[in-house]
Amino acid sequence: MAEIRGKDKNFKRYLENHFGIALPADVSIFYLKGVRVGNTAIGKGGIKGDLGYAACDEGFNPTNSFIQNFGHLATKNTITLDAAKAREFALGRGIGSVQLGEKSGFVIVKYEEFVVGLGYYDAEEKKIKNRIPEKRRRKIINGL
Amino acid sequence: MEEKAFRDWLSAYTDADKCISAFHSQKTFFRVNTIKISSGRFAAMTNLACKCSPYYDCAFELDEKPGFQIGRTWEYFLGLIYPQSLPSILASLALAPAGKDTVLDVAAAPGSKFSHMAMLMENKGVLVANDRGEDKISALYATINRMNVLNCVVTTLDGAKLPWNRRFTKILLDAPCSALGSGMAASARWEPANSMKISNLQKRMLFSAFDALKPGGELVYSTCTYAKEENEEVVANLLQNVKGASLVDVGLDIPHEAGLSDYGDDFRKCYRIYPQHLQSEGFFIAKIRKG
Repeated sequence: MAEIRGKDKNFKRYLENHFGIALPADVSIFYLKGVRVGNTAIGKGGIKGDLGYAACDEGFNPTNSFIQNFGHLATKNTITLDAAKAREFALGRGIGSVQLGEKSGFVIVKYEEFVVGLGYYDAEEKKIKNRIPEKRRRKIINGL
Repeated sequence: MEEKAFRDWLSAYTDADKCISAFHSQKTFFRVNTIKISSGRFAAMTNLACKCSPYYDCAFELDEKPGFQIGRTWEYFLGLIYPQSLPSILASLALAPAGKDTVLDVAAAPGSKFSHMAMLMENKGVLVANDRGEDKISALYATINRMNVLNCVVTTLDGAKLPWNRRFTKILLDAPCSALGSGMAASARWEPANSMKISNLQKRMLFSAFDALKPGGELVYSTCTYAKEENEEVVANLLQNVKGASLVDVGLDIPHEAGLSDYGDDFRKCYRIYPQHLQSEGFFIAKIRKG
């Protein structure tokens, strides 16, 4: 497994700078047919196959799954929604009338202490666009 | 097979009336994903009507109204739970993989037992998930992503022709089967000849999986069916033809019937779990050690 090299592909650095996420020592980010995440043992097993799961898409944007699983470690660029808005977001809808600063970029959308998914804050439109893949979206029927 | 004929066939194995009655009153279970939340914290935070199983503290029985869609709850969406029958949960517990192990799940999709094993391994070690077919692999990845499985290697090999020799310390072969334990719908489209046919594939898969097991390693063979051709006969075929294979007790403290002793006394170490035992689907579990 090769660690990611190159400024624009340095996902680990991006995680630290943008979200303040420092991954646990036993979690590895590696480049193998894309940027993936797994534990530190799977590359040493010598088994030919797909290791871990995708941490980034082809454009080196974080995947919703990665954010849903590690977003709780973030210290910045997060937003916590109320129950009604969190349900809307889980359903795939965006969030309007949001003021998160002057710069556009990815945000981690939370409900209580849980990460609902990945959003993209559009500073011009003052909206959070939904980045949860269609297959993961759900109409939630209960509360926490 | 018509219900009366199936009832007659089933009565050779267990109390058919109790079994068929229990088919119709199966309960819904789910497993808490301790990769994401502890069982105790889950119990404290959830609003789902549910109670912890007396057999396993990460298994819960759902007590919502009929038709309740567990897949539309926050708990499911956030990857905190996996809907799974109780015997299916117990199959992974019988294998008891730990973080030090190198584990193979021969037929892993959609990933219920596989993600449970990742949880038992605390996301450590190496857990190989094998299966074939685009839809199956897609379902497997959905599970890996939602449950945050980090110790996985996904392969897409023919389960009857695995390339590994003495590679894994623990192996689960939850074989493709006639699924008679899953409910009456499966029995309606089943004939005994179907079991004879699938038995050949199961035997080849078990040989292949056993080759991949390290000496001293353990293999769990399970199905969700009752036909002896798919259960004891498959295991007996391995024991008769391969040196160093022996049955060990499944070792779980749960209601069950012993495996069929027609194949030898050792087969009493296998578990036959019928719907009347756990108010869940029927299952067969055998645990095999490589000497």
